[in-house]
Amino acid sequence: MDNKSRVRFEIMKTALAIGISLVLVFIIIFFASNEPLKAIHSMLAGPFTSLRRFGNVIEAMTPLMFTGLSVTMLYRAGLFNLSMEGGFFIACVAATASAVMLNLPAGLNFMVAMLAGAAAGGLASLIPGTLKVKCKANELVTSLMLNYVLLYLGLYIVINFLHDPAMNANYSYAFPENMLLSRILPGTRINTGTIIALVSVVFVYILLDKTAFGYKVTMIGQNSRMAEAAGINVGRIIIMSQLIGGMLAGLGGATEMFGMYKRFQYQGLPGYGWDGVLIAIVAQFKPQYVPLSAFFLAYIRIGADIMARQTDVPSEIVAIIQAVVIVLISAEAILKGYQRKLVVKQAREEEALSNG
Amino acid sequence: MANEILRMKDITKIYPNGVMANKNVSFTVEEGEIHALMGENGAGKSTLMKILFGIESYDEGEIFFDGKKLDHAGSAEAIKSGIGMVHQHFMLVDSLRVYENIILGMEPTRGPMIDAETAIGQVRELGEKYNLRVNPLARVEDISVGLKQKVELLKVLMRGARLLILDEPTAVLTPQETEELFEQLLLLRKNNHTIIFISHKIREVMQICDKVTIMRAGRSEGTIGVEGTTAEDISRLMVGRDVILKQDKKPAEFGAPKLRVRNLNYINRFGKAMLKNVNFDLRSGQIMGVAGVEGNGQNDLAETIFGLTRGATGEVLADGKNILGKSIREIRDLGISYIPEDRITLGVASDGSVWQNLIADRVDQPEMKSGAFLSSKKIEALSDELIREFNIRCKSRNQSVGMLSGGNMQKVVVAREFSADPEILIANQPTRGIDVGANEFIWKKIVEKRDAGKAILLVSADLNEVLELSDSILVMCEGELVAYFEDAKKVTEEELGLYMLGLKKQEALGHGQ
Repeated sequence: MDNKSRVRFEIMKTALAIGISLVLVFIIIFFASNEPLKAIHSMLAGPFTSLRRFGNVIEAMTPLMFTGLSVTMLYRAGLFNLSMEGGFFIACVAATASAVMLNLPAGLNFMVAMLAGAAAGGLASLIPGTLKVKCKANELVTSLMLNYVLLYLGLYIVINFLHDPAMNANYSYAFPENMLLSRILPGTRINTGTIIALVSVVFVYILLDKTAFGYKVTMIGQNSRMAEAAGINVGRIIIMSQLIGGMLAGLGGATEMFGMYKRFQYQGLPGYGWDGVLIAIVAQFKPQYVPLSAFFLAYIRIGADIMARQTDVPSEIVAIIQAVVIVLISAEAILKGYQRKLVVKQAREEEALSNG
Repeated sequence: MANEILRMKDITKIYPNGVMANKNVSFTVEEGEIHALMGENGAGKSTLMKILFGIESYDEGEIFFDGKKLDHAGSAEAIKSGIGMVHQHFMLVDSLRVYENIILGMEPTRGPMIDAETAIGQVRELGEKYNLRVNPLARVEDISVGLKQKVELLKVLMRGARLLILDEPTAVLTPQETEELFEQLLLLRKNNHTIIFISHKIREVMQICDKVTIMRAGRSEGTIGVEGTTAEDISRLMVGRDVILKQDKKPAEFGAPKLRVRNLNYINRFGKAMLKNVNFDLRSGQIMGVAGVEGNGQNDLAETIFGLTRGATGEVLADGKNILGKSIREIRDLGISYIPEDRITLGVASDGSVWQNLIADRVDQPEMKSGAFLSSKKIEALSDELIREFNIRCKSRNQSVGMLSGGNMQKVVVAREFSADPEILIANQPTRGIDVGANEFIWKKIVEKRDAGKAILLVSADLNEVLELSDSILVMCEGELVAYFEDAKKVTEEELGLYMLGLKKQEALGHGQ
């Protein structure tokens, strides 16, 4: 298949996967709910019924864009791992610590806190990267184990050093007012964090598709032994990719803290890293599709929340959509017959052309 | 007229990547003949045979074996009907013994246990009958390539095959081993077995086959009897024109040494010494062929010099600088290029596009950039130029390399490595498994480099290539240099064979020359 028909095929496959998952969920709703039509309606149309709800979608998609980009960055280099989950979390802790403990001038304080988040995310994800390059340790295993180390390390820091005794839960002190990202659309909580996310999308797109570094990352992801034989320093690029990927997750964590929260409140891993994998798969590991893919996930989640509030269907039903979409998009066999037909048709056309 | 045993009718096969490997191919074989299936690489020979053996599906057509129609239900059905295949890359379990490999899946049992005694007896008996003598108790990893092939043949015969498909069986054999194989094939024919012999070596086909079917670009070009045909007739059908199987070149003019290898030793990770005290000089204007039975250190030599293999001791001097232990980037920057033995793992990224593969070694150079970014304009211009100069047949520079034929894939590698303008070129099996046209082209390019005063180290398992292309020849056996011929014209294939097998050895090779 040439490029055009491959793109067409991938789009069809994604659309079909989403379609099938929705139909499946509708069927379940019909059996489980007393008011199925209302449930489906509030899920699909709910996010558009008020500005505040639509705002919720944009707010929810912001951290997803960061972790989606982080996964895209790593997976393009062939580094299948989940360090963005722990990276996101520990970045929230680092940004919080920087915000509440350092006593810097307003603008500087914010910059330092954002950088602290990015640095913490980058460092967290450097660990599996370095272990892979130096010790040939499988990065998926090390990053998964590291995530729990980071979780408890983070909670330890918050409880022992940042805990606000005025709060009943293990929350940190409140961030200084001047740290919070400014709202850009009245009536919603949409803030400048979304803009930072979109700028990051452009940054990753240019980095991966327009620079020598991105070219090397892509070649290593496709065939690292060939890249090595061509004279590319594979180990260095892998470590750089892990660092940048982790920093993107970290920046996402800091942005989420100052955009949506007034103090650190997480009691466990927030799960944005896992979501990043879904986002990146649906976006086919292309940074330019990450916002679209993040919007889709945010939309069905907010829709499901609205449905859960208005009807008797719980929002957990979204998990079914997510699972079905992932399975269908990553399954090679889906639409194989259609793909086969495209291939055969094209081969025949070329054959006719070269004979004619 | 003999009995028709196989008829494949109008077979069409399209691979998932869109390559049409077989186009309405019809193929008939009679009982008790040795039938050659010839064609350039990528002509569709192996595909057709994999379809027959049931390991590839087909899109159109019918197969009749022994009068019965075969469905493509997998190789189990093919084996049951009496078809056996010896693959180009052996399908053996290295850590098991010979007899265990042969009986795998059809073990004679005594109660719940394998009846080893009976199995060994069966293997011995079969070996006697067909003159395929292999020690049944030897471990496969310990025996030579020639013996492994015998094990494969026994495996197929044990399963009662009447039609044997041999996919390029002589590619890995020495001339002596090839002769032995041919005697065994003739014996099989005498026992009324039918053999399909895939090859692209015309001489071998002329020697033992009764008939030959020629394939080109996925089509059958017809079947002819070998008697009364000349090698030129067959080669014309294969490529559609007369091929020069010889390489014309000017007499060599050797200049100063460009690469000096001194006391090179390498022990691989299994503790086996792959290079033993190797010494030689490679001079400018010289094509130095390295001959040897595969696995005798030639590949280790090439990979060690280029820095792909770490842990060797000794010296490799390029322009007086020791490059042993330097990174591949540094070695490349000293003007050394490399054509790897296995293009799929080391030569190209199959999922990458043609242009991505062409610039892999030079992406950091200013010629590829404008400012901090890659310049798509410059990259496109370079790619298009290389595609034209090296005659890479692709739809565009954006096509994935994995969709090109083997020969064109190799041309992508050659285009990249040659256009880097190296002073020293290490060509490790540069024409393995590619068609005659691409082969000729690559030879011509190598000779051009040599005429421009570059130094070329040519590692090849193809003796014809070593003899035709080299100015001088080194022979390796068990990690040692056992012979050096300053003038390649003064040595014959048979003589090389004696050195390759370790039957002869030049003394006083301490210094190569």
